[in-house]
Amino acid sequence: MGKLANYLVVRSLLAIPTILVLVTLVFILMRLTGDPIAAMVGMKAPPEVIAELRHKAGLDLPIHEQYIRYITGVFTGDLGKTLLYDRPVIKDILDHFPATLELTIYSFIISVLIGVFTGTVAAINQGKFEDVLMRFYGIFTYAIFIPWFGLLLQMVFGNWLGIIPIGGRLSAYISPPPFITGLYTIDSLLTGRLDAFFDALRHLIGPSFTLGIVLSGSYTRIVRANLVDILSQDFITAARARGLRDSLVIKHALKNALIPVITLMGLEFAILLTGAVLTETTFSWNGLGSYLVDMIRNSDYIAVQGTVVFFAIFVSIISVIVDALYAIIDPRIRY
Amino acid sequence: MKSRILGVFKMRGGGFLAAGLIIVITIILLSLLADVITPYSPIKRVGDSFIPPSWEHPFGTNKLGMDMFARIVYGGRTVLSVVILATILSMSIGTALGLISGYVGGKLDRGLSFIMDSIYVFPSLILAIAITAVLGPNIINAIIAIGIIYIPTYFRMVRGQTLQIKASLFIEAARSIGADSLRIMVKYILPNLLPTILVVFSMNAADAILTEAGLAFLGYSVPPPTPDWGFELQVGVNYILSGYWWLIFFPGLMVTLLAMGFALIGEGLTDILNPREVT
Amino acid sequence: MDGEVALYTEDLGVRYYIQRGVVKALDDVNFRLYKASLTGVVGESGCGKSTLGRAIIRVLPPNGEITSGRIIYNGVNIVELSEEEMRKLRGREIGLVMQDPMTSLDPLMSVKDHLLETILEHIEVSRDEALKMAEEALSSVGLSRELLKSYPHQLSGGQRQRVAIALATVLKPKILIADEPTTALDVIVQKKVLDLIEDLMRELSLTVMLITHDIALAAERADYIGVMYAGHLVEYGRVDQVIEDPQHPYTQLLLKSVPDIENISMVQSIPGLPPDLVNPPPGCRFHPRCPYKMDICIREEPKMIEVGEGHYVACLLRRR
Repeated sequence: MGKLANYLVVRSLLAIPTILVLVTLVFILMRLTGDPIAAMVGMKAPPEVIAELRHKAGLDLPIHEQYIRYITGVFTGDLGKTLLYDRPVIKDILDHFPATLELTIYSFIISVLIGVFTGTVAAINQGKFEDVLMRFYGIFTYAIFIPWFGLLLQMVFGNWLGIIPIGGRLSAYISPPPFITGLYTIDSLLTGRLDAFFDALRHLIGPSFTLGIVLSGSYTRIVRANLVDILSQDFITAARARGLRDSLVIKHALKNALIPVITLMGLEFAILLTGAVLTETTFSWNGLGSYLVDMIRNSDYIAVQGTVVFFAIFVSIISVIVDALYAIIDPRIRY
Repeated sequence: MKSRILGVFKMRGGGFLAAGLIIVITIILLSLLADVITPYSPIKRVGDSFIPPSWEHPFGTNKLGMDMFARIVYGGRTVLSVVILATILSMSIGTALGLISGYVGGKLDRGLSFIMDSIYVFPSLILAIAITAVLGPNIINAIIAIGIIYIPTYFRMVRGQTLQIKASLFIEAARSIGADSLRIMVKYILPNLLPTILVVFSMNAADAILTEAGLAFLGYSVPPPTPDWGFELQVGVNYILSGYWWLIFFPGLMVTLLAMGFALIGEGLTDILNPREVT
Repeated sequence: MDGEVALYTEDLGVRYYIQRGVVKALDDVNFRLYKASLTGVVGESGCGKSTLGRAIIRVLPPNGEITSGRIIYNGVNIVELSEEEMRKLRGREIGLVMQDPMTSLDPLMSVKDHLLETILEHIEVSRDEALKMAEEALSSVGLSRELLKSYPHQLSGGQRQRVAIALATVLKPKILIADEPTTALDVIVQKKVLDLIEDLMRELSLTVMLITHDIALAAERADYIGVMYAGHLVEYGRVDQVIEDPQHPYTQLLLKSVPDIENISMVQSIPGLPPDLVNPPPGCRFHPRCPYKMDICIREEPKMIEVGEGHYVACLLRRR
């Protein structure tokens, strides 16, 4: 397994150029108009306010110095201080990140479970009614507008039926569990706070099903395509010809079909984060997406830049993890 | 019994395509003919506030007493113009860069591909939000933002195909009779890319619609009172508890329908142009 | 001198459904396998020889279906068996070895798991007994038990094909269908794998159906030969009858196309291409390529007639 460790180190190092490109792009982007402060605060602000903000953000320095300061900051975890509240951006981000992580983990699990199920049903009934139905499901969910679906869930299950809360992470009368991971469902279990656990879970239903269902369509399509491909391969015919029952043959096929799906999970994760921004806003979920939207409303350019950079790094780390998973699961991979 | 299967085989690609075209064309016609279809202005009070759907107002009215049906058919114009202009932007830049990168190869190709891949893996809506935030929230910047984030989608596909076509014999032949690079790219390679570009375009249009609606929902597209579907939903959030479902249901349904229409077209075209699964 | 029949087909027909239409992959095939003998089935690719093998074990692709005829094994028409009854026959009574050993094993499973899974699916034995059977099966195909833990990608092509044969024979079936088992292997390994199949045939009194495009190989190894063309069985008989006295013009041309060391210049390839089976030619399907074509060949479909004892041919030239 020493080889695997080696591979993981090399793969992690390879993520650095990607991160560099992304953060550089963010840097360039933020300076596209020449002066992000003016663009964000608006021309109406008094010039001395703008000047002070520019100085605080380091925008009065020469551009290459700005860049060097910015890059060293990124790699030392210093993303600057928010213009509005003078708090370190990284602290704000870490405060909001667990909420996003919790939402994305649950949504991810839901999307994969639904996607694998529907994709399998489609593939083993290839060309029949079930297949067309599942392909339609894939297309429909792909096209669902998240706020619409989320608000409909709130309306039907929250307002009319009263089964789920309309928004937020926890009811007002429940105190949050002590901070360990920041994920309410985990922290509450670790500290034996069952009331908080069930309440947090109830709050998770709406947003995680919204995001999970919307993303499941992609998995339906991928799983179906891979499975159709695998099912036509010789080793499946050979397995059937050995008299294995269908459920066992499908197990063989599914195992093989899911391996390429793992590589796609990295990419899907980016889509998951995009969806998380809309889901968080729809469900008043106080995560990083909501934070980003708020900071843009506040015209806090430093906070926006920091959050976008954080997302970029997060996506890169996820892709490293996905590759590592792939290497561990598939015996054919040699590192 | 198996002849049923045969029927579905035949129906599939064509069926998806037809359904998609019907949805998209209907929505386009509704928006174009908005003045003819509805007697109401989309930005003027035409009755009481919060009238539920009725014959008079099929999609009800909003807080300001505006007719929701009028807002939706006129709002289609906003959505469609943003999406069409943005996809044309990403299609032309992405195709041009992909063609050059794939054809020229070497360092340029490696550099461009790396940058494009980095953008590609980045959450698209977050990037679009960042761009509009920097450029300022208005319709032109929404077009630019959506246009930029989907450049890599076209780039990757066009580059891949160009590499394949470049290796084929007829390109060798064209080169041997002295055709210059630009001529080869435009006259010989580009026409071969068109079917795939068409498929990518229809899938991408679906993404672009959802992103536009997302930007509008967050308040970064057109300023009110100009009608825009995504923005209607942002307003609708306030009426969950009041139960004014029509303020949420219809605008969101239109976003989803239009995106689905394009996705269906993409799916149908894929089946027809590339019928590999049904040997 | 003919033995008992192990399995036979009656007017077997198979159809594939594709976007362009219906492929008439097999039509009116009357074929038989004699017990404990080796029958070669030869023909160009796309002639239906693999389809015949797949139909007998009923593992056609999802878009394929047996549309007519019967397959009689042990007095039972297996076309009418339920899927579950048929599943119990597969591997247990009838085994299949496929062409490409690179793709016929599950890449994510070890050799041991392949074998154990197959054994435990069919017979009730403990894991230890199953493991013993697996080891025996491996040694019967000439592989050491060390390979049990290997994954397919760690084996050579020949080793994989031996594993595939071990898998098909671990439950000691009566019939083994080998579909081009050596085509993907190099020449020396080919010979060894064929020797192995013949050894197993003697040891287990297996009935072997060897599907191959190589009529010379069939001539060397088989006791009986069936020649297929465009979904029809056109000639069938003992190997000496078919090879020394071929009655169908197609068989004759196939034999002439075999390279001969002494007479290399005499090699002929058969002009023309096999027909499209969505719209096969009327009458005899071989008539567009047949050097002896008569007017009647375009109108009338030839039936199988017996020209010698146990030697059948479907050609209007041989009709008396």
